[in-house]
Amino acid sequence: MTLTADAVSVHVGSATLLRAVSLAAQPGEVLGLLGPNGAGKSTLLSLLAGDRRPDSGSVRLHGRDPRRWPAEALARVRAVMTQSASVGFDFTVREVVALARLPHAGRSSAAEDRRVVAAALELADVPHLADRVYPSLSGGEKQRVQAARALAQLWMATDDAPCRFLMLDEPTASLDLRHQHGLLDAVRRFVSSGVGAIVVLHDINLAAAYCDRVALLDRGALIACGPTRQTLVADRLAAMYGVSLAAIDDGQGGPHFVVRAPAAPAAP
Amino acid sequence: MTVAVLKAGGGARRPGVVPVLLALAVLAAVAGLVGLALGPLRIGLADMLAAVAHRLGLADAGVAPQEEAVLFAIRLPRVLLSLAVGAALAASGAAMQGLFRNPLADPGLVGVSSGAALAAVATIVLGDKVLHLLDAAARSWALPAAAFVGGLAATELVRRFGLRDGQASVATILLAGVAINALCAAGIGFLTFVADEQQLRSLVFWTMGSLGAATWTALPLALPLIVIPTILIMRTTRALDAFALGEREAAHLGVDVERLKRRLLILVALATSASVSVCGIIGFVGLVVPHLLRLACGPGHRLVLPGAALLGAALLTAADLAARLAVAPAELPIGVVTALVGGPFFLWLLVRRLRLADS
Repeated sequence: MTLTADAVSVHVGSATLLRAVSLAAQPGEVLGLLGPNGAGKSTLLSLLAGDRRPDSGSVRLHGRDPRRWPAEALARVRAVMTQSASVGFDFTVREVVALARLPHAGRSSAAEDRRVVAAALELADVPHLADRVYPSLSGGEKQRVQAARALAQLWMATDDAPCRFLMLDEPTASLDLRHQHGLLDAVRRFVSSGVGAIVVLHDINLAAAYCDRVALLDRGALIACGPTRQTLVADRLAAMYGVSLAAIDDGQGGPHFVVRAPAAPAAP
Repeated sequence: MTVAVLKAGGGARRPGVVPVLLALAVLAAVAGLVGLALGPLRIGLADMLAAVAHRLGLADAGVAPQEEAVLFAIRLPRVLLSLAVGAALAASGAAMQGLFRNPLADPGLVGVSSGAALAAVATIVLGDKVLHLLDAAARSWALPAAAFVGGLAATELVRRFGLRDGQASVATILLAGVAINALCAAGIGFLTFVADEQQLRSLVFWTMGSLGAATWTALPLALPLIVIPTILIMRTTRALDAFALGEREAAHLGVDVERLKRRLLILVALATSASVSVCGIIGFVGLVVPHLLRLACGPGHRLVLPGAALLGAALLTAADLAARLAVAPAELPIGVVTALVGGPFFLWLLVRRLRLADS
């Protein structure tokens, strides 16, 4: 196991954002992080990414605290797509994605960088936007470009590269239906090259379709973690999200979750 | 240099870094040569070469000693200073805009100019009480030294206010800068109020900027203090590009964000304080020049930082020439010239930006 969180807790003031969460991500699999708003998903992701230190517990990437990795070496083995999509100044899409190659300076040729950027644009379905000015894009287009940037950061020409981790915080938040599936499909294909993906998702059906394992977080605590099919159970999800929810067969042997609108309150 | 047409949402073609920088270097060199040539006494290129050859002992006296004296004692130090200060202010502006991810940022934002101004004005108004203790040579250094220290101190104060748990918050730095600027302005206002006629005159001229202080006694100390930090700013290009994505995103790309912020604030404070201490306040160069480059060549700092330095050098030298020639034999304050040209230009940029955003 190459990326682990061991009993990590985070407190801010009197609030507990995470409470003794233990988790392991593995190369070659997509791990989904699910839970209601404020459950601690983004906080957990920022611990795994090495952005912040847990108040107790520890995070280990290849046996070592990510906060103790040399910054550039860490940037070559883990990429993060945050929820922020703003870019100061009028960089083009191609320039934004090319920034992903900064930590590879001196290790990857200019030609190779160009090839990686082109391939990442392709995989995120944005090659037609390459010469557009980034701030002029729509929210969904920006999100796909940021995904391309995260992919390009981990792209390796050699097969002997160490195991890498791709962390995506709500990557499908502003995407249309086709691109929600397109992006997660791209992540799946990328993962087959020996990368581990950790994806924060709100759509349980997307999680059911694309995650190998899921971790359910609620109010800072890990309430379940395991293979998607066994973990995404209607009763558990209904209790966690506080909604009325049923699983139906999607016709391909998988579950599909249907949420029922709350009953209209009786007229006073 | 052609301005790339950026249609809103349209494609962007970027010119090559090397050709643009070469063209700008030529432009700065030409501005320098014209600055050497023009003035009450015109000195042709041939005469200049003859004078240089004479100085180097390669030829006998080929030009009038008076011409040679004007060239070497008056114009050369002045042109060198304008090139250096223009480069420093424009590069500092570009770096600040990158750091704050805001095209409207300028070096004055972190208090460096107003801190220097407060110290300079204090020296002019209150200095008499102390300065008579110094000899004449030391006295001439008092004002630039005070301004230099004042600029550095104000920036450091702003930076300290922005620190929290060892991390500098860019937003807090910005707000602290506003507060320190206001405090300095109050101090300057009070000192202006208590100043006598003569002091009033010198402090007003100082705050409008002038390159008239360029002498061979001042340059050996001032030039390195201006030029070295400016060159060091050039080494932050890649990190500043990443910074455009956001602080956290830059950190994810392996940029040591805290080190970058500390480094840039110190380098900008040094370059700007040193510039302001010899030339007074010269506005708009730091704001407009980087903007112009981004508009023409895109926002990549590999081009914007050195390009801004070269273009700033050329433009400030041209502005100084205008200041010297416009009302000769008197001299306009250079701050007036840069604001006069920079102000309308900046308005034009704003209008153009709005129009692009609408279409």
